[in-house]
Amino acid sequence: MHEVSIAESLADLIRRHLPPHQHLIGITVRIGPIHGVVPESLEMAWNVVSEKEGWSGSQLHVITPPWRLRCGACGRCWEPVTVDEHCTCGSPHADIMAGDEFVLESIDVESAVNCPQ
Amino acid sequence: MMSHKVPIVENVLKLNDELALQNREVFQRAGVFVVDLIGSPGAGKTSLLELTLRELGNFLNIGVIVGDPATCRDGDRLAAHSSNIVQVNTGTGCHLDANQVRHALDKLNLSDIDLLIIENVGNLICPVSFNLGQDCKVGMFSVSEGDDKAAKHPNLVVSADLLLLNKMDLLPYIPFDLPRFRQDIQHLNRDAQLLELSVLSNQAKPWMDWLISHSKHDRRYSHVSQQR
Repeated sequence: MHEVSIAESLADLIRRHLPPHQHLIGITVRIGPIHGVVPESLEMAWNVVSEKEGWSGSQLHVITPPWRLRCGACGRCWEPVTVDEHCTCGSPHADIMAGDEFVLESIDVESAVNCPQ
Repeated sequence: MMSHKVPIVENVLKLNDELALQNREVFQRAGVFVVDLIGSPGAGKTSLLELTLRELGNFLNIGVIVGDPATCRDGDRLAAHSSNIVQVNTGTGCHLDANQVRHALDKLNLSDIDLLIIENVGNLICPVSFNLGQDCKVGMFSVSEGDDKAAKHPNLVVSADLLLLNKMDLLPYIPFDLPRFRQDIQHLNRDAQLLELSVLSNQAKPWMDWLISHSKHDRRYSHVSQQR
């Protein structure tokens, strides 16, 4: 259940970036399938962690990019269904071009003070 | 109220990575070669370390940080062979992180150590993402886990500098497609070296040789290979 650790790591990172007098209402993370993170579990963990931080109700948006491999022999790039898929040329070697992302993309904030009309 | 988006684009585990970098600086200053050993529960990590301490303990000063959710059993086993053992209990945590390692280092005198092996919590997924400041990440599988475990855990295969397959002596008794296992590793990490061991039968010489040759002290300890 490393989703709890990941949620806590996200909170640590967000505390660094949250502008003063702003209220956190959402975050967007991009996590490739290689990390084995289950979005539903991360959402549960985020609900608990964000409440502790005083960010109750902040929405977690998880972007899961697809695997993308490049054949080590012919250079063909493709999006496999599973990462153990071999190239159509038969080569057993591939490089992972996408699917290993682990990034806090952005945070959504709103002013804690009403703006003058 | 006005809302807006603030772009961040930073690694989720950036803070852990920063602490890992600090650990790494400490290791480098002390001249300690550090291995992060990752494998599932029961793969034979602690048995491998017992054998390592027995085989190399007279030539290298070896320290071990061993992570487990509960108990000191592994720490006690290893303490029979070395005084430089630190047991870390992670509770519900499924991995060691750089901060836990930093605190464990308070209990070790690094100036007395040439090689530090961090036995991570038994798990093939979670420990892989958390850098600890190690020089090398070693992934350990075993025959009894089945031949599909490398393919099912690509992050470990891709991240590892070295992969171990233990319990080779069980191969005659357990269905295990060794060529397929090797091919799965080659598919994702053609640079990864795979060492095949039988730790309980004391068949782990390739691992001992790897440790010696990769140690930063390999020149200082070049006599080790000759004496063994």
